[in-house]
Amino acid sequence: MKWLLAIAACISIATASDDSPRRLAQELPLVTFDRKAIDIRSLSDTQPLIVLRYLGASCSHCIDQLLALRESRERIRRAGLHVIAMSHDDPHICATAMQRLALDTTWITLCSDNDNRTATALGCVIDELDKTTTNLHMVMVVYKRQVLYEHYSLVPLMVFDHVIRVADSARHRESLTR
Amino acid sequence: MTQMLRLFMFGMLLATSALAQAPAQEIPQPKTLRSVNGVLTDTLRLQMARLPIAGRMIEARTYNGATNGSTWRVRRGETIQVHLDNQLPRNPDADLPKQGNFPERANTTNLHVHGLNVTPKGNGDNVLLAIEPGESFDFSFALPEDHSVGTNWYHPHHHTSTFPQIVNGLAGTIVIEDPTDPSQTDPALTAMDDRVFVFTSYFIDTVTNTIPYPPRLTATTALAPQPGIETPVHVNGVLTGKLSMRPGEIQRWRFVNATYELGIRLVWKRVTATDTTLVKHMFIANDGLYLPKAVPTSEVTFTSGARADVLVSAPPDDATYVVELQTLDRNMTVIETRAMATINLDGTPLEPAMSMPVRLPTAIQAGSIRDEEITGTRELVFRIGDVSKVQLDSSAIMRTFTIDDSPFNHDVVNITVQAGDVEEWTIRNDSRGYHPFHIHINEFQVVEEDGVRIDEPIWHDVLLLAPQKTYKIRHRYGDFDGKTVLHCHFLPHEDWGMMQLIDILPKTSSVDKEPWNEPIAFPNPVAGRLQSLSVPLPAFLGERSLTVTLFNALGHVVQSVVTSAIATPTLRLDVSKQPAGTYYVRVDDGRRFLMNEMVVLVR
Repeated sequence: MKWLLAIAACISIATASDDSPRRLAQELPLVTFDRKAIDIRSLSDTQPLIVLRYLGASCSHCIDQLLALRESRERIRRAGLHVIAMSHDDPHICATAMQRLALDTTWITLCSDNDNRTATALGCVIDELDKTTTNLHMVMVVYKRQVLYEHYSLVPLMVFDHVIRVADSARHRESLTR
Repeated sequence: MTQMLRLFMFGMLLATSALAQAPAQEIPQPKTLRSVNGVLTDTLRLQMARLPIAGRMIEARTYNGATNGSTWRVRRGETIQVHLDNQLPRNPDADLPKQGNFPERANTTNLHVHGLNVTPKGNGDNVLLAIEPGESFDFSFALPEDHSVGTNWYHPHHHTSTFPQIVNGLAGTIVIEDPTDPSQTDPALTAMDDRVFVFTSYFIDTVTNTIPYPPRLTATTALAPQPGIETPVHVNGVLTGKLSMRPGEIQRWRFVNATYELGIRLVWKRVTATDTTLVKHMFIANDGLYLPKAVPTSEVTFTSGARADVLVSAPPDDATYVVELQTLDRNMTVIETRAMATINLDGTPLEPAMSMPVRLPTAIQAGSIRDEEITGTRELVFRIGDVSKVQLDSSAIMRTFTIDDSPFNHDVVNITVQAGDVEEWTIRNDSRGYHPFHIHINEFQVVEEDGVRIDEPIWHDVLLLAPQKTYKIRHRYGDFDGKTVLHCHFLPHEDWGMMQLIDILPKTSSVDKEPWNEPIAFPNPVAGRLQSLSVPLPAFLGERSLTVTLFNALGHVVQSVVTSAIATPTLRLDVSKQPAGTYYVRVDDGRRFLMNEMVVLVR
């Protein structure tokens, strides 16, 4: 579908007119690289989460994305944010990726969603009318079960400044109103 | 780099001043090969050999052990067949991970025919190939019957080894000769002898007498990836010499800037015991493409990758006539000035003396690009990011030199067009330095500079973008489809990632009719939890009737609207009731204009 890029710049998308944050209505279970069960929704109660859906360690573009995000790790740590990066990789592959990409749990946790249950619930896996499946990358900011930002694409998002700002400002706003 | 060059040049000038006492030798011409029965064949053995460079014997990467590659002389409609045999040693970094946009794998190669309009696919002008040491490959470049005539060149273009290889002098000239039919070419032009001049600079290690291998990326090497001392610019492998002409003769001199990033300025001077004056000759072609008419000038300046053709008249008297060479760095500052050659009168006078052509051949058969031909527009921004970040994170160099904020990625297509498209691009240089913009297999016309329309635009395939300036160019995509590139022709910038991948789609494909039947490929522009789509309709389509159709994944029409760009500059499609899935928006005027977009709705 490379021909689509020819006019990518010519089409703009108007998103939903309703700007109020969407709430996560159901559990979103994952298994961490060290085989602990977690739920995105309840984890978001305690700190803003940047939730990343990538297509696994075999996708070089997704690895580039994780490495690009790694460059902002100090900012993420300082802001008290955490990244949950999920894919259909099994936990042991996530563990290998954590090691090889020099990722650490002070700011990111790679998680397994090997049955795509959570990715499907979030809309990242779409069963098409022609019986094919479309897999999307996603970046989402969740805090206290509210979706503050979401970005779906077939190309991994590579620039995280805005995402981190959204997550950071959520906590900052809360501290001001407390 | 520049400082080292100046220091080295000081030494070189001392050496050349001594040489100046000796009788000057004729500047040599590279070996010439011609086509036979419509086919030119050559073997390029890429091998290590010792070459005389800057007064030393230096072990360099060479084509067939020579200073430059042979000059290929062909006519349009003919085919160039090249057997490239990579006999270079194994890459010392072959087992190390690839770094990305940084010079490495300096012994891996391929071949680019700069200026030729030939297929970029398969064994054509395919710069995405990687020919490893020990491998060989047969290239074939079939020139169309309507190909432009002029001066072009060939050189390696493997991403990450382009810069390290070009500083070995790996380059040769391709001359597509003028038709001899007097109705197409003024006989005065075909009667002239011509010479080629290939300008090269080298990076040498004066201890080992080699051209060093690029080091791995570190904070120290990030901005100086090619070790060694830069030599002064050589022309056909020598620093200086003489050029002989018969009295009354006019010769065509074809200049090729095959340096990695240096600018070349040539100035013609008449020197007597009492004064020095400038001498005008006729500048006739830019980047191998004829100008509308010859321009009298006493100097020509051409950047890395560019060419200039000049008709030079033999001296009319016994004064000393000199071709002065000025070398310019990437800021277009002169860093060296020297006499490249003296023009020497030799032989019996021509009677009658030769004459200048009254007219020049047409550069491009289809002529200048007219407003009504344009099928699309596009914007490109050349930018250099924050170089200081490299001190903290050396890998930042691979993301610092960008076009549209994207560094080169071999797997990502940045621009998609279709064969037959005619586009107008706005190109902005957002950095404080110069960037020579070069696009493969398609020449272009520069029609506007910083908002000022150019009344008589000329053709280029390299355009030096001045800092903070904006240019408009127009180009036609001919019959060839396949992937090719555009990039900055300062070759370190290119290896650092200032390059984009273009996919030229074939003129006829299923895409025209059934976008839903195309496999979903990486990358894709639009996906999200969308309620409506805004589709801007290109203003240049004016009042033409446009059909905007939304298809689902099965190709069933979900919505269809007939409108025009005047009536609806931005069309809004309500997709709130559509379930999750992949959809296609097609805008079609039924005749010439077609655009397709994929949209993935998330629910």
